[in-house]
Amino acid sequence: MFLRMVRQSLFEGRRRKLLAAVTVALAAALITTLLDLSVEVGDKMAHELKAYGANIRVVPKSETLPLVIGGVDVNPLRGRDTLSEADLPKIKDIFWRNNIVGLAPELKTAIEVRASAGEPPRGSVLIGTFFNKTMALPDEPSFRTGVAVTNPGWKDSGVWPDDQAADQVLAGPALAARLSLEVGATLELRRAGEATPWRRVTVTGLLAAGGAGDEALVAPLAVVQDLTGLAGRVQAVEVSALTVPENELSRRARRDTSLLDAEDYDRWYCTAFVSSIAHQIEEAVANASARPVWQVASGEGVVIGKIQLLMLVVSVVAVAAAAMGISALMNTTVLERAREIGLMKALGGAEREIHLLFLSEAAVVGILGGLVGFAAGTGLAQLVALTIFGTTVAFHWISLPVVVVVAALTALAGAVLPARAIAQLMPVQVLYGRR
Amino acid sequence: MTVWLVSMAHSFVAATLVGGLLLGLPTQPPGRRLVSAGVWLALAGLALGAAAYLFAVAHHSEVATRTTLRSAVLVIATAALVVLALRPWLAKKRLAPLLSVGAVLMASGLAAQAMFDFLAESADHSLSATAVLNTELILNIFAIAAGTAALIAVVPLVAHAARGARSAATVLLAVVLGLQGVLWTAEVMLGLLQLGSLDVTSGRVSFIAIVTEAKPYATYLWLALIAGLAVLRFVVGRQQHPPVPTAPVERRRRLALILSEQRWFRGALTTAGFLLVVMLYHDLYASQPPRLSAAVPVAADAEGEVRIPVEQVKDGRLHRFAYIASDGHRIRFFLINRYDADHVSIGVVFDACMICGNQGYIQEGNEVICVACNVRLFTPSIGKPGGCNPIPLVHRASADTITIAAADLAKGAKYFSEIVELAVTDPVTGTRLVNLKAPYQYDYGGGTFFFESRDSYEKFRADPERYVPAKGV
Repeated sequence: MFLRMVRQSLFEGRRRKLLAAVTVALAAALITTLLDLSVEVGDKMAHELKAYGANIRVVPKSETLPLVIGGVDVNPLRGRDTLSEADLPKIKDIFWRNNIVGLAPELKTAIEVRASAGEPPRGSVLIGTFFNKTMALPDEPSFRTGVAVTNPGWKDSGVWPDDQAADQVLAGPALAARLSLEVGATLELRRAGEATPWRRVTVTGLLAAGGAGDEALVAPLAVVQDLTGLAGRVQAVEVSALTVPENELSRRARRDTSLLDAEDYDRWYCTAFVSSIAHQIEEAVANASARPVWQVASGEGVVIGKIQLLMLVVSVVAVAAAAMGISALMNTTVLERAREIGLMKALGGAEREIHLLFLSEAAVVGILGGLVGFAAGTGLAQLVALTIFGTTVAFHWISLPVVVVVAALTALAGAVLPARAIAQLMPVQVLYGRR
Repeated sequence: MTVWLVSMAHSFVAATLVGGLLLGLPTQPPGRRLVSAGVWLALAGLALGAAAYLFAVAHHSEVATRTTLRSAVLVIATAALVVLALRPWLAKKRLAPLLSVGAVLMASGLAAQAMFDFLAESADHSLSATAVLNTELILNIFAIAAGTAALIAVVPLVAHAARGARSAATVLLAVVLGLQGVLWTAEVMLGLLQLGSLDVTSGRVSFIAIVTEAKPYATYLWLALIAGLAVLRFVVGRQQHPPVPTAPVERRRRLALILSEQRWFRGALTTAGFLLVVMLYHDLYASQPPRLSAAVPVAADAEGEVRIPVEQVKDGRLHRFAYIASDGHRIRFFLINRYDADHVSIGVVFDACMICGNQGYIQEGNEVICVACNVRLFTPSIGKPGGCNPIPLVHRASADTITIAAADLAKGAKYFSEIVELAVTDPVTGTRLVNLKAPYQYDYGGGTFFFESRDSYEKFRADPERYVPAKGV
């Protein structure tokens, strides 16, 4: 009976209800867009933080000194302090050594490059590292490591340079485009600001966009050490490790290890949390600081994290505006249908039942508006993501219930005040047409 | 996701059940003002519980705060039980206002400690891995919203059922308070033991152990009782009402009443059923640890060696085997190809870790995982000691066979606790025995021998060589 009444009631004043649904749909479209963007990045971040592998960046301790004055980094040791290359095998000697899949050192220097003699030199950065180098370890003489293990996605085309060769490099995509370099091309380089003789090198491959650097060249570590005179030194080490994501146990341990009983403490100690591996690396390598590297968290995550509050405010404003619109429309409805309401009351309809009728009607309008808005917002989100991040967003089914619930609540919030007017309608007055 | 709903249910079901009973039991339905005062005080109780938890975390005094809260609630519950017992007498004395105050106080006390429990229980779970909105966060919020709705619904549903079955509801209130009282007593006692205010005796410890063991089932019991009360009310209501009259007005009124009763009944069953299903799903499925794949039983050949063809184990999967040592220890070990089909290098290891014990390893996709600590192993490192790697097993590898000496396998007995029943023979008397029931045993020459009596045990110890066959135990 009640459902029949709601159905009949819905088709009364169709045009006005359509308007109400459109109002809700507009707000819902906006919320869907913001939600899709947020959830896309949030899911990627959560996935990264919960993955069973992480990269840990090891840098000299002085790099992490917080010497920022007035927003400017004034750390005098930035980029000057180095780690010893001889310490690298120690990283594979910690308690969790079996979980360390690979490591790659890094030594950067500013250089000048030119495609051939006679051309004007251009500034660039040369990064020295291991590509696929054999690093002898006490218990594993043939341990192979380098960026081919830690960052296999760096190389876009061509082959990795030979770690023993002195004249092979990978070129960044932007640099390659400017100098019109292809795999197999040659170029000349020297250290920036030094009138040393030019070195001729061959490009064996191109870097992927967003990898090591779009404008950089990547060469074997020994080449860069030779060029800079920093023999046996590295500026940073990227370590790839198999880890366990933070869980209930590690959170408890982080709060207070004394909360753990003996069994839990052993289990925690035995578990390869990224923080515990980083801690052990710090113990093994003198003067080093090790921190996990989160790719998404430090990229898109920062953008979304900063504008999340703005998104929330915009959503709240949109919802409030839609609710007010609905409120005005519902007010008219109640006034228009005053006689009908009077009749229902006269026939013994409880106030709560009449309330329910109008609120259900509002909820149905809200849900319909929400569904339309969701469809529109999903499309809009693709457009926005293409302009901001240059990629499309995946379909997030979770947005659908959220948007529909928010839309229904919006319509209900708008309907609450007009519905209260029902209580003030006296059957006798409205039925006689005298108010 | 379900973990939030389940910890809400564990913390709040008892409190909402008691709240509903308190609301439904009085013969005079409580006035609007009293009910709203009760709701406000219950909300205040929730806030108090949250504040108590935050205070406890800040001062590292979770045990002391919990014990204090529990003791307070225990006192209130005891008082309530006394009042329940003396009810007929008290009613005459016109102590109704005092009873109302007591009921409201109890509701707020229960709310406070339920909130404390919920926060303490869920402290180890995070709502979200990151601060940016994500699917997991939304699902968890949905779960909490659903749990809140279901638990709030319990109060009026129970109150309605209690109004129709007063005497059963009174008994139920006494049962709930009594059983919860036992649980709280054990927890207060445990807290006092931990704080050192009470001496440890074996009686106290075993009391606490028994109660703690039974505690997780209490919530199931409360949900079953809620459903039972609703059923009782429905059945009693049906029996009490005379047949539907034929006079139109009366008839419609009666039909409306029956319809509304049915709705209350269905609502109660749905709510209790929903919470029960979620809890069962969580306890029986979602929170279960992964299972080990079956182990292929192996036995030593005449030379005391176990031989496994490489062809059988080089496909990159984890091949688990089990060897039963002479003392009945079931020793699991596994073989896995560390590289790929073209570079065969078989890792031969015990299915146990030096640190995590013998929970074993499983393979998911291509990853080998330690069940105890969930760490992923770097497959090429299997066979090397250290970290959470499985304990290496001494073996000889040829191009087509892996050979493991039974004696080397038997050395792994100390890593495994599982002992299987084994038919053994007393080497002195020749009697057939079962290893688990043999009164005496003795290790000799890498094997374990079982004896039926002290007499044969002593004889064997005096001159073992006389009884041991030359080769193969």
